[in-house]
Amino acid sequence: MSWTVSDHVVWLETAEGIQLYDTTSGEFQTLNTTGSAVWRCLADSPDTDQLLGSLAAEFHATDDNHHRIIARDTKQFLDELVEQGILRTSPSGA
Amino acid sequence: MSWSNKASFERARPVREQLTAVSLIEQGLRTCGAVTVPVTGDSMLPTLQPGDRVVLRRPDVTRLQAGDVVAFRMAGRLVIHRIHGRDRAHFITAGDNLGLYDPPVAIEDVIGVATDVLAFTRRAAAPTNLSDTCSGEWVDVWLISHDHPAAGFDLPPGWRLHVRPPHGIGVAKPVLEEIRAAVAGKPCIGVTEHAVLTIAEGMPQRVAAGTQVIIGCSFGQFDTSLPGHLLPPKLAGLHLRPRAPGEPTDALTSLREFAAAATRTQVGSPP
Repeated sequence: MSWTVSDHVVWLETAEGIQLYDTTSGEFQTLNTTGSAVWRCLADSPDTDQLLGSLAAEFHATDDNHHRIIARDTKQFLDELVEQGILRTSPSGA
Repeated sequence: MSWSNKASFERARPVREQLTAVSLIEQGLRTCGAVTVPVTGDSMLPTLQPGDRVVLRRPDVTRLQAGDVVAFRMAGRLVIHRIHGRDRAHFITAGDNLGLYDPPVAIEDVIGVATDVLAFTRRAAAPTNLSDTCSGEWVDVWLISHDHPAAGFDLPPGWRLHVRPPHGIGVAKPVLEEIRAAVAGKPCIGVTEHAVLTIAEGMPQRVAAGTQVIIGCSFGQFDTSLPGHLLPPKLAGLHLRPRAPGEPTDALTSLREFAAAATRTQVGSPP
């Protein structure tokens, strides 16, 4: 599966983190430090496996448990963004 | 870096930096053509209420005209106000709920035009309290000027004049405090070239006893180290303009025109 930013969402990286603007709803959102890291990795590696690999490297995951926690939290976070219409998903390679 | 906190986002908190919000809105207009922005202030009441959302589109600035509601950059913020006029390089704008024009808006600072807003209507009615009888005995005119009116100039009956000198960009602090104290709890009219309404449009039928009239000093907020103080815009419940928008008019001329208009209105209205 891969993740794409919806066409009606624009974003900026600032000192506070990633700032998102949903141009349809008019909602502004600020991602926290970890959310901003996920977003940056997602921008470079939209495929789930690549994304989790990048995050594991960035956060120095040392064991399976750490990998599992990162995978679980990331999926939960991205699912919320999909629910809000900020991201959309597509099968890998699509 | 460690995975110390779960990835999350703060939904309720607006982007802290207004500048960032403006950049995002501009980016949205460039990439999407139209955006929705939340209304946060009350300057456009009753057309736009805080909490409303306004759809903005990229403007064709050559076609913008009086009545259009536009979004523009001002001091790092995004302002949504109505156009009242334009020249080659600037728009004259004001909030529907404000009595004073904004500083001239450079055409390149207009980034969006609002759609689906109510038709342009000018507020012609003066605030009701201006016609109410007040406890004061006089109409007090505060003239901010180095000069006194020439001999032979008479104020309307029941009016009295207080001449105070200008200082720097406005008045000295003691004069500001004196005017503030005089205005407290009383109707007040500011006469300034930056007012939305002309004297003819907004002059109340009767300038009630107790009314304070301020002439010859600018209203506004100006963050500067220059000496002097501008008058707070909310000091006056009604702002009136002697001439064309922004046309500088000296204090004595403004006084003559205001007094003449007041005399005409009151002569023509029932006692």
